[in-house]
Amino acid sequence: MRLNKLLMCAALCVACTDSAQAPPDPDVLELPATPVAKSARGNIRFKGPERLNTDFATALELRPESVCLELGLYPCTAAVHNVALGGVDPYGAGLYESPNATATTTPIVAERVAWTACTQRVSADLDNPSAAVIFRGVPLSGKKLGNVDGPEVRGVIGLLTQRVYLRNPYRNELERYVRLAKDIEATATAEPARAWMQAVCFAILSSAESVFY
Amino acid sequence: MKTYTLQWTLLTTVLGLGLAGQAQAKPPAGGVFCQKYPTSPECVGKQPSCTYCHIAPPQRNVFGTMLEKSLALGMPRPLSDADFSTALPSALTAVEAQDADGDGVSNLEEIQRGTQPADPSSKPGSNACQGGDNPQYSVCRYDLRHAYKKVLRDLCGVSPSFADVNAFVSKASDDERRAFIDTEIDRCAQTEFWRGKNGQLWKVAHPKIRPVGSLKDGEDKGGVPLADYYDDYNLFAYTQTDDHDAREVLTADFFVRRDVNPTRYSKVASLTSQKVDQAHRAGNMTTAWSLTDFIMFTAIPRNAASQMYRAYLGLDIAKQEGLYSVANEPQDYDAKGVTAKECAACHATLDPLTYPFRNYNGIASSKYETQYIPNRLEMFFPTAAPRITQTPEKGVIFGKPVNNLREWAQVAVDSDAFAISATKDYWKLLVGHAPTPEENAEFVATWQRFKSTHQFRVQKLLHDIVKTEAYGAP
Repeated sequence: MRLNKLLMCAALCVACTDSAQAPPDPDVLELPATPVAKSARGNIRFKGPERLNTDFATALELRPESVCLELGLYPCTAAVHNVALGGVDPYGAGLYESPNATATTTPIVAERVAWTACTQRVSADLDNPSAAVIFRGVPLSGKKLGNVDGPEVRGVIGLLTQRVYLRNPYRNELERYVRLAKDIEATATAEPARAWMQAVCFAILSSAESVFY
Repeated sequence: MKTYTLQWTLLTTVLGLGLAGQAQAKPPAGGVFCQKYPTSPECVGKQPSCTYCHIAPPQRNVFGTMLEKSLALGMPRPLSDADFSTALPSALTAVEAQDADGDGVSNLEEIQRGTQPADPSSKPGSNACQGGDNPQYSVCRYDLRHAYKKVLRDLCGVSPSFADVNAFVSKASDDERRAFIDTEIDRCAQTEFWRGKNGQLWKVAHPKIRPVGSLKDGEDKGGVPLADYYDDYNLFAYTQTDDHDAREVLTADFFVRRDVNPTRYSKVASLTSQKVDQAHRAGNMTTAWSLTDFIMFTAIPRNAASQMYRAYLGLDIAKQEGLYSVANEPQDYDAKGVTAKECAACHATLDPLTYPFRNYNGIASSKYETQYIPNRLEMFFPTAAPRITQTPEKGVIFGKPVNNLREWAQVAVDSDAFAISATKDYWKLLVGHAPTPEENAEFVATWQRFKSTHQFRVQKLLHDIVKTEAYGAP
C-alpha cells in the first residue's frame, strides 16, 4: 500500500511541473584520429517521398499525414512534390519509374518538408511544455535558452541525433549545435530559443545522413 | 526438353539461320559470341544485344568497326550468315588485345568482366577494400547493422528506432542477427508499404501494366472508362507475395480480388471486369486492360507482344535485345512493309512472337469486348491487307514453336530470361541499381536460385538479395 501511495505522489509531482523531463546528457562519440575508411561501393540512395515523410514523422512524433501540407491542405510528399522527391506518377503523367538521380528541386523540397516538420514540433513543444517530445525540460530565460551550455541543451541534441541518425552525437556535432545557439543569440533575433530549436532540428533532419541511406 | 535454356535455343537458332541464310542483319552474332566466350557475363542466361557491336544495324559502333576490319578478309560482302558465323570467332580473337573504346581496358577484359567494349564510360570497377577504420560501418564486408536498417527502410518503408538498432546490435551472435533480419523481411512483406495499393509491389508493376488514369474503369474511374487495370496489379501482387508462384503472372487462368484493411489478395475464378474465357487466359497478357491498351484496334498487335517481351522477360526489341530470328520471317501478312532490310532484322523475331495474339480482341463495339474471338482477323479485318487472314495463330518464342498464347506464356516463364527479369526488378528495388559487372556473380547465383531452388517464389528471392554483398556491404 505504501508503494502505491509513493507512486501516486510521484505521478502528481510530475504532473505539477510545467515541463517534461529533459533528455539525458547523451553518450558522446569521438571522431577517429585518422580519416575514416571509405566505402568502395558508395551505394547511397535518397529516401524518396514515402520514407522521408515517415521517418520525419516518426522522429518528431508527428502524424504522417500532417508532416507537411501545402496551403494547409495538400500533402507535400504524397502529392504536390512527390515527383520532385523521386516518386512516380503512373496514372496521370505516365511516369512509371523513379528517376535514378535526384532532381534540381529535390534539395529544396526536402528542406521544405524538414522545415515544416521542425517548426510544427518546436511550436507544439513550446506551446505545451508538459507534453513536449523533443525540446523538453530546456530551461528558458524569457525567449532565450536559460543555459546554452547546460546538459538539457546537449540532451536535446543527443535526442535528435538518436532519433534521426540512429546513433549518439559526435563531440564536434554537440559543439557545433551549442555554438549555433550562441550565434543565434548574437543576432538579436526576437525569439532566440525558438530559432535555435528550429535551426538544430532543421540542420539534422535535412542533412545528408538523414535523407540518404 | 525440360532444361531448356536460352543458349540451347540460341544454338538451334544459329544453326537454323545458317541454313536459311537470308537475314540481312546478323542475329547469329550473339550465339557465336557466346560459344566463344561462354563465361562472359553477357552470356550467362542471355546474349549480347545488337548494340554490343552496332549503334543500330547495320551502322557499327567502335567495337563493331574494329571487328569488321578483321572479319573474313577478302570475302565478298554481304557475308552469308554461315560465312559470318564461321569468320566471327577468329575476328574476335584478332581484336582481343586491342582497346576499341580507348578506356584503357582491353576488349578481352571487357568481354570477360561484362562491360561494354564500345563504351568508354563502361569499364570494370573495383569493390576492393581500401583499408582503414570506420566506427559506423564495416565498409569492407557485409555489415549486419547496416543491412538491418536498410531492410526496414526498403521493405517496411520506415527506419528502425535508436532503441531497435541498439537491441539488434546487442543480440548474442551474428547468427541471431541474421535470423532476426529474416524475420523482419517476412514481417515487412506483410505491410501496406510493400503489398498495399500503390505500395512497392505496385511500383514494380507500373512499367509492366502502364496504366492510364483517364481510361480507368471501376475504382478511381477515369473520364473514359475502358478497363480496370487494378485487376492487373492485383494479379501481379498476388503472384509476388506469400508462397505464390511468380510465373502465374503470365500463366494464370484465374483472377485476383483485393480486399483492404489490411490488403489481402485472393484467387477468384471470374470477375465482372474481365471477359476472356478461362481456356484462353494467360495471366496479365490477356486482361481487359492489356487487350485494351496494347492491342486497341490493331489487327496484328506487335505492340502487345513487344510490351510483354520487354515487361516480363526484360528484352526490349526496340533496343535490339532478344532477337531470335525465325527463318522465312517476317511474312508481313498485314502489308506494313516490315520485310524492308531496315525492319526485317527485328521483325523476323517480333512478328512470329505476335501471331499468337491474333485472336485477342482489343477495343471494338461492346458486342465484341476484350476477349478471345476465333477468326477475329477474318471477322474484323478481312480487307486490311490481301494476306491478312493467312496470319497464323502459331508463333515462335526463343526459337521454339508454340500453338497459341498459353504455350507462348509457358515457354516464356520457363526461360532464363523470365527469372533474370524478375530478379533484376527486385535487385533494382532493393540494391538501388541494375547489377554492375562487379555484382554479376552474385546476381547470377541469385536468379539461378530463384529459378531452381525457390521455384519462382519472390519472398525467398528477397531473402537472397538481402544476403548479398551488393546489398549488405556499405
